[in-house]
Amino acid sequence: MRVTLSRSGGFAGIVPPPVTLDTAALPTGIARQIAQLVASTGFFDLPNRLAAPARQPDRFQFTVRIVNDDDQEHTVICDEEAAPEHFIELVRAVQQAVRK
Amino acid sequence: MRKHILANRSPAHVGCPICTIIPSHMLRHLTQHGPDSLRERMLQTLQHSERLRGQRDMLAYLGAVALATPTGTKRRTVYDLAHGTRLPGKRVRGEGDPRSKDIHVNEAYDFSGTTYDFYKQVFNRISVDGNGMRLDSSVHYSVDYDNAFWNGAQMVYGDGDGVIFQRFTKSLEVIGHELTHGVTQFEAALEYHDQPGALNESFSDVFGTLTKQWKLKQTADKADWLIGAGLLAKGVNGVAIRSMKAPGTAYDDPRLGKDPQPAHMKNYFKGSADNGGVHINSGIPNHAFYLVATSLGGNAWDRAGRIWYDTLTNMIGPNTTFKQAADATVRSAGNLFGGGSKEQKAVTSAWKQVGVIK
Repeated sequence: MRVTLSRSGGFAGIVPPPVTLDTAALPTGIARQIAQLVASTGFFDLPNRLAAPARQPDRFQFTVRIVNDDDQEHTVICDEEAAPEHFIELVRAVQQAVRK
Repeated sequence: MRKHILANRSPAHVGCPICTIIPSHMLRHLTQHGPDSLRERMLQTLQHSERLRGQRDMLAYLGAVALATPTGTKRRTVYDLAHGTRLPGKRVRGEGDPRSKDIHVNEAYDFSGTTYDFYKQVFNRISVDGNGMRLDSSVHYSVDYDNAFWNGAQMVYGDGDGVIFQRFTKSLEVIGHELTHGVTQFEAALEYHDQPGALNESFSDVFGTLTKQWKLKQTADKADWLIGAGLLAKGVNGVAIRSMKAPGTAYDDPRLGKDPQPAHMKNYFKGSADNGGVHINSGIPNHAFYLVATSLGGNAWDRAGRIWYDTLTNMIGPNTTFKQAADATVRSAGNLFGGGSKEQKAVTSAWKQVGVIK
Protein backbone atom coordinates (compact mmCIF):
# COMPACT_ATOMS: atom_id res chain seq x y z
CA MET A 1 0.00 0.00 0.00
CA ARG A 2 1.05 3.59 -0.60
CA VAL A 3 0.88 6.07 2.26
CA THR A 4 1.26 9.83 1.87
CA LEU A 5 1.59 11.96 4.98
CA SER A 6 1.60 15.73 5.26
CA ARG A 7 1.52 17.98 8.29
CA SER A 8 0.72 21.62 9.04
CA GLY A 9 0.39 23.76 12.11
CA GLY A 10 2.46 23.35 15.25
CA PHE A 11 4.28 26.16 17.04
CA ALA A 12 6.66 26.56 14.13
CA GLY A 13 3.89 26.50 11.55
CA ILE A 14 6.22 24.66 9.26
CA VAL A 15 4.75 22.67 6.41
CA PRO A 16 7.40 20.06 5.60
CA PRO A 17 7.27 18.44 2.16
CA PRO A 18 4.80 15.51 2.16
CA VAL A 19 6.33 12.08 2.60
CA THR A 20 5.25 9.05 0.61
CA LEU A 21 6.15 5.46 1.17
CA ASP A 22 5.29 2.18 -0.49
CA THR A 23 5.12 -0.66 2.01
CA ALA A 24 6.29 -3.02 -0.72
CA ALA A 25 9.65 -1.24 -0.66
CA LEU A 26 10.06 -1.41 3.13
CA PRO A 27 11.67 -4.09 5.30
CA THR A 28 9.04 -6.76 6.07
CA GLY A 29 8.82 -6.01 9.79
CA ILE A 30 8.17 -2.32 9.27
CA ALA A 31 5.73 -2.96 6.42
CA ARG A 32 3.76 -5.31 8.65
CA GLN A 33 3.78 -2.83 11.54
CA ILE A 34 2.37 -0.09 9.33
CA ALA A 35 -0.26 -2.40 7.82
CA GLN A 36 -1.34 -3.42 11.33
CA LEU A 37 -1.62 0.20 12.43
CA VAL A 38 -3.70 1.05 9.36
CA ALA A 39 -6.03 -1.80 10.31
CA SER A 40 -6.10 -0.81 14.01
CA THR A 41 -7.20 2.72 13.18
CA GLY A 42 -9.97 1.38 10.96
CA PHE A 43 -8.53 3.85 8.50
CA PHE A 44 -10.78 3.18 5.53
CA ASP A 45 -13.87 3.69 7.73
CA LEU A 46 -12.70 6.94 9.33
CA PRO A 47 -14.48 10.14 8.32
CA ASN A 48 -12.60 12.42 5.91
CA ARG A 49 -12.29 15.06 8.58
CA LEU A 50 -11.48 14.51 12.26
CA ALA A 51 -11.83 17.98 13.73
CA ALA A 52 -11.34 19.06 17.33
CA PRO A 53 -14.46 20.95 18.53
CA ALA A 54 -12.20 23.73 19.82
CA ARG A 55 -8.63 23.80 18.56
CA GLN A 56 -5.77 23.87 20.99
CA PRO A 57 -3.19 26.46 19.96
CA ASP A 58 -0.05 25.16 18.24
CA ARG A 59 -1.28 21.60 17.67
CA PHE A 60 -0.49 19.82 14.45
CA GLN A 61 -2.85 18.77 11.70
CA PHE A 62 -2.11 15.61 9.71
CA THR A 63 -3.35 14.59 6.28
CA VAL A 64 -2.96 10.90 5.55
CA ARG A 65 -3.82 9.42 2.19
CA ILE A 66 -3.65 5.66 1.65
CA VAL A 67 -4.06 3.60 -1.48
CA ASN A 68 -4.23 -0.08 -0.61
CA ASP A 69 -3.41 -3.14 -2.72
CA ASP A 70 -7.02 -3.32 -3.94
CA ASP A 71 -6.66 0.25 -5.23
CA GLN A 72 -9.06 1.56 -2.58
CA GLU A 73 -8.16 5.13 -1.76
CA HIS A 74 -9.03 7.16 1.33
CA THR A 75 -7.87 10.49 2.78
CA VAL A 76 -8.22 11.63 6.38
CA ILE A 77 -7.47 15.15 7.63
CA CYS A 78 -6.97 14.90 11.39
CA ASP A 79 -6.41 17.53 14.09
CA GLU A 80 -3.73 16.21 16.42
CA GLU A 81 -5.86 16.65 19.54
CA ALA A 82 -8.78 14.81 17.89
CA ALA A 83 -6.75 11.80 16.77
CA PRO A 84 -8.47 8.45 17.36
CA GLU A 85 -6.70 5.49 18.88
CA HIS A 86 -3.52 4.39 17.08
CA PHE A 87 -3.66 7.24 14.57
CA ILE A 88 -0.68 9.11 16.01
CA GLU A 89 1.21 5.80 16.24
CA LEU A 90 0.57 5.32 12.52
CA VAL A 91 1.82 8.85 11.79
CA ARG A 92 4.99 8.27 13.82
CA ALA A 93 5.61 4.88 12.21
CA VAL A 94 5.41 6.46 8.76
CA GLN A 95 7.71 9.33 9.82
CA GLN A 96 10.25 6.89 11.22
CA ALA A 97 10.11 4.59 8.19
CA VAL A 98 10.89 7.50 5.90
CA ARG A 99 13.71 8.76 8.10
CA LYS A 100 15.67 5.53 7.82
CA MET B 1 -9.72 40.85 33.21
CA ARG B 2 -13.29 41.73 32.35
CA LYS B 3 -14.42 38.12 31.96
CA HIS B 4 -13.40 36.94 35.37
CA ILE B 5 -14.90 39.99 37.02
CA LEU B 6 -18.27 39.74 35.33
CA ALA B 7 -18.58 36.04 34.64
CA ASN B 8 -19.64 34.72 38.02
CA ARG B 9 -21.46 37.70 39.36
CA SER B 10 -25.23 37.63 39.47
CA PRO B 11 -26.98 40.81 38.30
CA ALA B 12 -27.82 41.66 41.90
CA HIS B 13 -24.14 42.06 42.68
CA VAL B 14 -23.07 44.14 39.73
CA GLY B 15 -23.30 47.75 40.77
CA CYS B 16 -25.38 48.95 43.67
CA PRO B 17 -28.02 51.65 43.17
CA ILE B 18 -26.53 53.92 45.85
CA CYS B 19 -23.00 53.67 44.46
CA THR B 20 -23.91 54.98 41.04
CA ILE B 21 -24.51 58.47 42.42
CA ILE B 22 -20.97 58.59 43.75
CA PRO B 23 -18.78 60.44 41.26
CA SER B 24 -16.11 58.40 39.45
CA HIS B 25 -13.13 60.18 40.96
CA MET B 26 -14.35 59.15 44.39
CA LEU B 27 -14.96 55.57 43.29
CA ARG B 28 -11.51 55.52 41.74
CA HIS B 29 -9.95 56.63 45.01
CA LEU B 30 -11.87 53.95 46.85
CA THR B 31 -10.68 51.21 44.49
CA GLN B 32 -7.11 52.07 45.40
CA HIS B 33 -7.43 53.01 49.05
CA GLY B 34 -10.73 51.63 50.27
CA PRO B 35 -11.15 48.56 52.45
CA ASP B 36 -10.61 45.28 50.59
CA SER B 37 -14.20 44.17 51.23
CA LEU B 38 -15.49 47.10 49.24
CA ARG B 39 -12.82 47.39 46.57
CA GLU B 40 -14.04 44.70 44.24
CA ARG B 41 -17.61 45.92 44.30
CA MET B 42 -16.46 49.51 43.78
CA LEU B 43 -14.40 48.40 40.84
CA GLN B 44 -17.28 46.55 39.23
CA THR B 45 -19.56 49.52 39.75
CA LEU B 46 -17.00 51.81 38.23
CA GLN B 47 -16.43 49.55 35.24
CA HIS B 48 -20.15 49.11 34.76
CA SER B 49 -20.90 52.81 34.86
CA GLU B 50 -17.85 53.79 32.84
CA ARG B 51 -18.80 51.30 30.18
CA LEU B 52 -22.27 52.84 30.04
CA ARG B 53 -20.70 56.25 29.61
CA GLY B 54 -18.30 54.88 27.01
CA GLN B 55 -15.28 55.98 29.02
CA ARG B 56 -12.71 53.79 27.31
CA ASP B 57 -9.75 55.50 28.93
CA MET B 58 -11.10 54.74 32.37
CA LEU B 59 -11.56 51.11 31.48
CA ALA B 60 -7.99 50.96 30.20
CA TYR B 61 -6.79 52.37 33.50
CA LEU B 62 -8.93 49.95 35.49
CA GLY B 63 -7.60 47.10 33.43
CA ALA B 64 -4.21 47.84 34.90
CA VAL B 65 -5.33 48.02 38.55
CA ALA B 66 -4.78 44.97 40.71
CA LEU B 67 -7.96 44.46 42.64
CA ALA B 68 -9.25 41.70 44.87
CA THR B 69 -6.81 39.14 43.55
CA PRO B 70 -4.40 36.88 45.39
CA THR B 71 -1.18 38.47 46.61
CA GLY B 72 0.54 37.29 43.47
CA THR B 73 2.53 34.23 44.38
CA LYS B 74 3.56 31.94 41.61
CA ARG B 75 2.27 28.39 41.75
CA ARG B 76 4.40 26.43 39.31
CA THR B 77 4.41 22.68 38.87
CA VAL B 78 6.43 20.72 36.34
CA TYR B 79 5.58 17.18 35.25
CA ASP B 80 7.61 14.61 33.32
CA LEU B 81 5.74 12.67 30.66
CA ALA B 82 8.76 10.38 30.07
CA HIS B 83 7.97 10.34 26.34
CA GLY B 84 4.33 9.38 26.85
CA THR B 85 1.39 11.58 26.01
CA ARG B 86 -1.09 11.13 28.84
CA LEU B 87 -1.16 14.50 30.61
CA PRO B 88 0.06 15.74 32.95
CA GLY B 89 2.68 13.07 33.74
CA LYS B 90 4.70 12.52 36.91
CA ARG B 91 5.11 15.55 39.17
CA VAL B 92 8.82 16.33 39.40
CA ARG B 93 9.11 19.91 40.63
CA GLY B 94 6.81 22.18 42.58
CA GLU B 95 6.96 25.84 43.50
CA GLY B 96 10.00 26.52 45.64
CA ASP B 97 11.50 23.05 45.10
CA PRO B 98 15.24 22.76 44.41
CA ARG B 99 16.54 22.60 40.86
CA SER B 100 16.14 19.36 38.96
CA LYS B 101 18.94 17.49 37.20
CA ASP B 102 16.80 17.78 34.08
CA ILE B 103 17.36 21.01 32.17
CA HIS B 104 13.92 20.72 30.48
CA VAL B 105 12.28 20.80 33.92
CA ASN B 106 14.33 23.77 35.06
CA GLU B 107 13.72 25.76 31.90
CA ALA B 108 9.97 25.15 32.02
CA TYR B 109 10.00 26.25 35.66
CA ASP B 110 12.27 29.28 35.25
CA PHE B 111 10.79 30.64 32.04
CA SER B 112 7.17 30.30 33.13
CA GLY B 113 8.23 32.24 36.23
CA THR B 114 9.85 34.92 34.09
CA THR B 115 6.69 35.24 31.99
CA TYR B 116 4.59 35.51 35.15
CA ASP B 117 6.94 38.22 36.48
CA PHE B 118 6.76 40.10 33.19
CA TYR B 119 2.96 40.21 33.15
CA LYS B 120 2.81 41.14 36.83
CA GLN B 121 5.42 43.86 36.80
CA VAL B 122 4.59 45.42 33.45
CA PHE B 123 0.80 45.04 33.29
CA ASN B 124 -0.16 44.18 36.87
CA ARG B 125 -1.64 40.93 35.62
CA ILE B 126 -1.57 38.05 38.09
CA SER B 127 -0.91 34.90 36.06
CA VAL B 128 -2.56 33.71 32.87
CA ASP B 129 -6.15 34.26 33.95
CA GLY B 130 -5.45 37.47 35.83
CA ASN B 131 -6.45 35.71 39.03
CA GLY B 132 -3.39 33.76 40.16
CA MET B 133 -4.03 30.59 38.14
CA ARG B 134 -1.44 27.85 38.68
CA LEU B 135 1.21 27.36 35.99
CA ASP B 136 1.54 23.71 35.00
CA SER B 137 4.08 22.45 32.48
CA SER B 138 4.70 18.95 31.17
CA VAL B 139 8.02 18.13 29.52
CA HIS B 140 9.27 15.19 27.40
CA TYR B 141 5.96 14.87 25.54
CA SER B 142 6.06 11.97 23.08
CA VAL B 143 9.21 11.03 21.14
CA ASP B 144 11.17 13.39 18.86
CA TYR B 145 8.27 15.78 19.22
CA ASP B 146 9.00 18.97 17.29
CA ASN B 147 6.51 21.11 19.13
CA ALA B 148 5.14 22.85 22.20
CA PHE B 149 1.50 23.76 22.83
CA TRP B 150 -1.06 25.13 25.25
CA ASN B 151 -3.93 22.70 25.78
CA GLY B 152 -6.32 25.18 27.38
CA ALA B 153 -5.07 24.50 30.91
CA GLN B 154 -1.33 23.86 30.79
CA MET B 155 1.83 23.99 28.72
CA VAL B 156 3.28 20.94 27.01
CA TYR B 157 6.80 20.67 25.56
CA GLY B 158 8.50 18.22 23.23
CA ASP B 159 12.18 17.37 23.08
CA GLY B 160 12.58 18.14 19.40
CA ASP B 161 14.10 15.54 17.09
CA GLY B 162 17.68 16.75 17.57
CA VAL B 163 18.19 17.03 13.83
CA ILE B 164 16.02 19.98 12.93
CA PHE B 165 14.77 21.14 16.32
CA GLN B 166 16.26 21.26 19.77
CA ARG B 167 14.18 21.03 22.94
CA PHE B 168 11.31 23.51 23.02
CA THR B 169 11.87 24.62 26.61
CA LYS B 170 15.13 26.20 25.48
CA SER B 171 13.54 29.42 24.26
CA LEU B 172 12.05 31.96 26.68
CA GLU B 173 9.87 33.50 24.01
CA VAL B 174 8.36 30.09 23.19
CA ILE B 175 7.22 29.79 26.79
CA GLY B 176 5.96 33.37 26.77
CA HIS B 177 4.13 32.56 23.52
CA GLU B 178 2.40 29.51 24.98
CA LEU B 179 1.37 31.26 28.19
CA THR B 180 0.01 34.16 26.17
CA HIS B 181 -2.34 31.72 24.40
CA GLY B 182 -3.76 31.26 27.88
CA VAL B 183 -4.04 35.00 28.43
CA THR B 184 -5.84 35.37 25.10
CA GLN B 185 -8.18 32.54 26.03
CA PHE B 186 -9.26 34.47 29.14
CA GLU B 187 -9.42 37.82 27.36
CA ALA B 188 -10.33 38.31 23.71
CA ALA B 189 -10.72 34.55 23.09
CA LEU B 190 -9.70 35.01 19.45
CA GLU B 191 -10.87 32.00 17.46
CA TYR B 192 -8.03 29.88 16.16
CA HIS B 193 -8.51 30.14 12.41
CA ASP B 194 -8.08 32.70 9.63
CA GLN B 195 -7.59 36.34 10.69
CA PRO B 196 -8.70 36.02 14.33
CA GLY B 197 -6.38 33.00 14.60
CA ALA B 198 -3.47 34.86 13.05
CA LEU B 199 -4.09 37.67 15.55
CA ASN B 200 -4.13 35.08 18.33
CA GLU B 201 -0.77 33.82 17.09
CA SER B 202 0.58 37.33 16.76
CA PHE B 203 -0.33 38.36 20.29
CA SER B 204 1.53 35.28 21.48
CA ASP B 205 4.62 36.22 19.48
CA VAL B 206 4.37 39.86 20.62
CA PHE B 207 4.17 39.11 24.34
CA GLY B 208 6.60 36.23 23.98
CA THR B 209 9.22 38.49 22.49
CA LEU B 210 8.44 41.28 24.97
CA THR B 211 9.04 38.83 27.83
CA LYS B 212 12.46 38.14 26.37
CA GLN B 213 13.26 41.81 25.76
CA TRP B 214 12.12 42.74 29.27
CA LYS B 215 14.20 39.98 30.82
CA LEU B 216 17.27 41.00 28.84
CA LYS B 217 16.55 44.72 29.41
CA GLN B 218 16.75 45.38 25.69
CA THR B 219 15.36 48.44 23.99
CA ALA B 220 13.44 47.96 20.73
CA ASP B 221 16.45 48.82 18.59
CA LYS B 222 18.68 46.28 20.34
CA ALA B 223 16.21 43.38 20.28
CA ASP B 224 16.53 40.67 17.62
CA TRP B 225 12.75 40.40 17.07
CA LEU B 226 13.14 36.68 16.42
CA ILE B 227 10.84 33.95 17.66
CA GLY B 228 12.50 30.69 18.60
CA ALA B 229 16.05 31.83 17.95
CA GLY B 230 18.24 28.94 19.10
CA LEU B 231 15.56 26.27 18.59
CA LEU B 232 16.90 25.16 15.23
CA ALA B 233 19.59 22.48 15.46
CA LYS B 234 23.08 22.96 14.10
CA GLY B 235 23.28 22.63 10.36
CA VAL B 236 19.79 23.98 9.69
CA ASN B 237 19.89 27.00 7.43
CA GLY B 238 17.96 29.47 9.54
CA VAL B 239 18.18 31.85 12.50
CA ALA B 240 14.78 31.30 14.10
CA ILE B 241 11.24 30.05 13.51
CA ARG B 242 9.89 33.52 12.74
CA SER B 243 11.12 37.08 12.36
CA MET B 244 8.92 40.02 13.32
CA LYS B 245 11.46 42.41 11.85
CA ALA B 246 11.60 40.67 8.47
CA PRO B 247 8.85 38.07 8.07
CA GLY B 248 9.76 35.44 5.51
CA THR B 249 13.51 35.47 6.19
CA ALA B 250 13.87 33.29 9.30
CA TYR B 251 14.88 30.06 7.51
CA ASP B 252 15.36 28.46 4.13
CA ASP B 253 16.32 24.80 4.37
CA PRO B 254 15.41 21.84 2.13
CA ARG B 255 13.98 19.92 5.08
CA LEU B 256 11.82 22.80 6.29
CA GLY B 257 11.08 24.71 3.17
CA LYS B 258 11.34 28.48 3.21
CA ASP B 259 9.81 30.73 5.85
CA PRO B 260 6.36 31.43 4.33
CA GLN B 261 5.42 34.47 6.38
CA PRO B 262 4.18 37.60 4.58
CA ALA B 263 5.02 41.09 5.81
CA HIS B 264 2.16 42.70 3.87
CA MET B 265 -1.47 42.01 3.05
CA LYS B 266 -0.66 41.65 -0.63
CA ASN B 267 0.98 38.31 0.23
CA TYR B 268 -1.75 37.12 2.55
CA PHE B 269 -1.91 33.29 2.58
CA LYS B 270 -5.36 32.19 1.48
CA GLY B 271 -4.99 28.41 1.73
CA SER B 272 -6.67 26.15 4.26
CA ALA B 273 -3.55 24.57 5.80
CA ASP B 274 -2.67 25.57 9.36
CA ASN B 275 -6.27 26.61 10.05
CA GLY B 276 -6.09 29.20 7.32
CA GLY B 277 -2.45 30.06 7.92
CA VAL B 278 -2.60 31.27 11.52
CA HIS B 279 1.18 30.85 11.92
CA ILE B 280 1.77 32.32 8.47
CA ASN B 281 -0.39 35.44 8.33
CA SER B 282 0.63 36.34 11.89
CA GLY B 283 3.66 37.85 10.13
CA ILE B 284 1.53 40.85 9.15
CA PRO B 285 0.39 41.99 12.62
CA ASN B 286 3.81 40.93 13.99
CA HIS B 287 5.50 43.30 11.61
CA ALA B 288 3.06 46.09 12.47
CA PHE B 289 4.00 45.73 16.14
CA TYR B 290 7.70 45.76 15.31
CA LEU B 291 7.19 48.97 13.30
CA VAL B 292 5.34 50.69 16.14
CA ALA B 293 7.93 49.66 18.72
CA THR B 294 10.96 50.68 16.68
CA SER B 295 9.34 53.93 15.53
CA LEU B 296 8.68 54.97 19.13
CA GLY B 297 11.98 53.69 20.48
CA GLY B 298 12.81 52.93 24.09
CA ASN B 299 11.45 49.75 25.68
CA ALA B 300 8.92 48.10 23.41
CA TRP B 301 6.77 47.00 26.36
CA ASP B 302 6.31 50.54 27.68
CA ARG B 303 4.20 52.00 24.91
CA ALA B 304 3.69 49.61 22.00
CA GLY B 305 3.22 46.74 24.47
CA ARG B 306 0.80 48.75 26.57
CA ILE B 307 -1.35 49.57 23.53
CA TRP B 308 -1.37 45.95 22.45
CA TYR B 309 -2.20 44.75 25.97
CA ASP B 310 -5.04 47.23 26.27
CA THR B 311 -6.33 46.09 22.88
CA LEU B 312 -6.17 42.39 23.78
CA THR B 313 -7.81 42.80 27.17
CA ASN B 314 -10.38 45.50 26.52
CA MET B 315 -11.11 46.06 22.90
CA ILE B 316 -11.32 42.99 20.71
CA GLY B 317 -13.20 39.70 20.66
CA PRO B 318 -13.39 36.18 19.21
CA ASN B 319 -13.97 37.14 15.58
CA THR B 320 -11.92 40.30 15.28
CA THR B 321 -10.31 40.80 11.87
CA PHE B 322 -6.94 42.44 11.12
CA LYS B 323 -8.67 45.70 10.16
CA GLN B 324 -10.77 45.73 13.32
CA ALA B 325 -7.72 45.00 15.48
CA ALA B 326 -5.79 47.76 13.73
CA ASP B 327 -8.60 50.23 14.35
CA ALA B 328 -8.73 49.11 17.98
CA THR B 329 -4.99 49.71 18.46
CA VAL B 330 -5.38 53.19 16.96
CA ARG B 331 -8.23 53.96 19.37
CA SER B 332 -6.30 52.49 22.26
CA ALA B 333 -3.25 54.62 21.44
CA GLY B 334 -5.53 57.65 21.40
CA ASN B 335 -7.04 56.71 24.76
CA LEU B 336 -3.70 56.02 26.42
CA PHE B 337 -1.55 58.75 24.88
CA GLY B 338 -3.96 61.25 23.38
CA GLY B 339 -5.64 61.71 20.03
CA GLY B 340 -3.07 62.91 17.49
CA SER B 341 -0.18 61.80 19.72
CA LYS B 342 2.99 60.47 18.15
CA GLU B 343 2.09 57.07 19.59
CA GLN B 344 -1.22 57.06 17.76
CA LYS B 345 0.44 58.27 14.55
CA ALA B 346 3.04 55.49 14.81
CA VAL B 347 0.28 52.90 15.15
CA THR B 348 -1.67 54.20 12.15
CA SER B 349 1.48 54.40 10.07
CA ALA B 350 2.51 50.84 10.95
CA TRP B 351 -0.80 49.34 9.87
CA LYS B 352 -0.64 51.34 6.64
CA GLN B 353 2.83 50.00 5.96
CA VAL B 354 1.62 46.41 6.21
CA GLY B 355 -1.43 47.17 4.08
CA VAL B 356 -4.15 46.62 6.68
CA ILE B 357 -5.18 50.26 6.89
CA LYS B 358 -5.43 51.95 3.51
